[in-house]
Amino acid sequence: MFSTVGKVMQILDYARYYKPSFFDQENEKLFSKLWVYGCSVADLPKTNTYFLAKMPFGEIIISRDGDKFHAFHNKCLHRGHPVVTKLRGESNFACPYHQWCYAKNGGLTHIPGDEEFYLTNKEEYTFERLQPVALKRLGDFIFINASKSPIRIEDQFDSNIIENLEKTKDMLSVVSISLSINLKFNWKLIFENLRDPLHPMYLHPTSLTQEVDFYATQNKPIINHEPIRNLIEISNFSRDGDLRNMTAPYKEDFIQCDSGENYLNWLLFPFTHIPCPDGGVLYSVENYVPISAENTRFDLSLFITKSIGKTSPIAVLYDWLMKAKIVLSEDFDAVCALQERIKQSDQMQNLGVFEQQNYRINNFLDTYIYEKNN
Amino acid sequence: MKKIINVLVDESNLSQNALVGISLESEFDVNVISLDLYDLDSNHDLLQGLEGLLLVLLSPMTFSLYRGKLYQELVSNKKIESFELLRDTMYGRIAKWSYCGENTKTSLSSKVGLMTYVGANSIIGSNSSVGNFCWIGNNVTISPGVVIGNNVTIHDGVVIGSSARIGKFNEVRNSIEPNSNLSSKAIETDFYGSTAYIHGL
Repeated sequence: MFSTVGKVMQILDYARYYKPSFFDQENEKLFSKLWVYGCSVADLPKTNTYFLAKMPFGEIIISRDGDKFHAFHNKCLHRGHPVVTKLRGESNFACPYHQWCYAKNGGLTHIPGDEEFYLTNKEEYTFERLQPVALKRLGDFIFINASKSPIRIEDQFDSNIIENLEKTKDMLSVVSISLSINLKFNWKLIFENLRDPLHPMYLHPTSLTQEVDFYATQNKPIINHEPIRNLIEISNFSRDGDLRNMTAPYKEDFIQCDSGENYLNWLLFPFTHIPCPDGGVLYSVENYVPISAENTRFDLSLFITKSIGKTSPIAVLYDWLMKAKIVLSEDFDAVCALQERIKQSDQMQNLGVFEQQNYRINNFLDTYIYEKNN
Repeated sequence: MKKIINVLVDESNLSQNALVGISLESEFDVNVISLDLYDLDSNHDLLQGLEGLLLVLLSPMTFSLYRGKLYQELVSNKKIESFELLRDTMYGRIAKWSYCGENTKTSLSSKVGLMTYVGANSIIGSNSSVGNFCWIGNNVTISPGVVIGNNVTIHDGVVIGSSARIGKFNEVRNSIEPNSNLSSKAIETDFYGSTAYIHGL
């Protein structure tokens, strides 16, 4: 039995948040088919460097060769051993198992003892390469798609998203901060929280809402019950509110990619959130990488634009980390509490009218991703 | 007539607890000023209008960017004097706007940097140095020969073994073995026990 309160749009079955069968279908039909955030150009500070992106569909090496970027699976062509184990490094790729060597673009360049032990030679294998992954650069952010026939990124992210990301091109400093945390909740729950326009008012009364005048608390939502027919309707870029302090003292010492007046917010389906809380200098990439039905790895990368003054970028980033962890902890504590109770309860959640986008996305998942007999 | 001492605090528990712990009332008229460090511009007139002694008890939450900015504000006001408690247990050098708590001992040839707070009952060993804008808690032992970078937080009760190096921005919650080297590129945080890594420096 469950109760409903107010005008309910949808009663959701909780199984989608903990049953492995749902997760398996998401991995097969969503994560490995869509464009997902891989890393930033700042993570590849010079040519001949790589970044290892750990995704639910496997580990992907993203490497830099001058201004070109390549992505391929971290799986040696010989026995499938990982070619690299560190998250970052120089792209002298040699599989530690039998020293098969690869170029920056993933091409096989050398097999030790090729003629003697493998009865082959360089002419025969020189066209072989690690399984490639599609890559697209939007501004200073790199997206990857592991599908063998990837959709156009423009069919997943609208022009508003792309144009505003493009403003960061060649603007980010190589100085950044990153961390990873394993969290006990389903990846969808945190995004439902992020799409909930009312939650900052109640969950972040002494943190985030002290810094931003959120429009959602001033305006009535535009009601849209229409089913989602295109992927492009799921992600969005928005200016969520006016900054209370538009002239933070450090801002004049860094390149500004936007007006500096609004809280900028990219919600990129399936699992990336990029807030820019000061309107064009600080970019926080929150990748909520699904690990299993009940576990999500939170990869946080804090980026800042290039310095044009004396303020130390690391001091700004560190200070921001101190503030961000308060807001994020408030979100995570709430979502962890939801996840804990999901399996314990025979109730189902009921979404209010203001949560229409969450309703529409769940409807989309029911229609296109989940099979009826889960 | 007692001399006035201005004490800068923020709203954090650490700062407020430090204020409670220092008991200056018997010696001074204490003027407590609560600062919003994220909006220093609005405090500019207030800070420039201060006169007399000044003591800074700001928590590590605000110790990086805004403490640096605050320092610039303070040094430009020539009417205020830095206040360090000159106890008979202070043998080291304590830089401007820093504070050492009750029963804390600084040894010969030790140094405490700018605008650094050291709590009560702590020891700073000989030939040790503590950087600028640090927060050292109560009952902390910093053994001889230790070097602590800028913007470091060391929590209550921690023992830093001799000749250890603590890189800038670290937050130290557990005791550190002698001769250890805590890189400034990996910061322990209290954010779900994670370690934050700095890249590109």
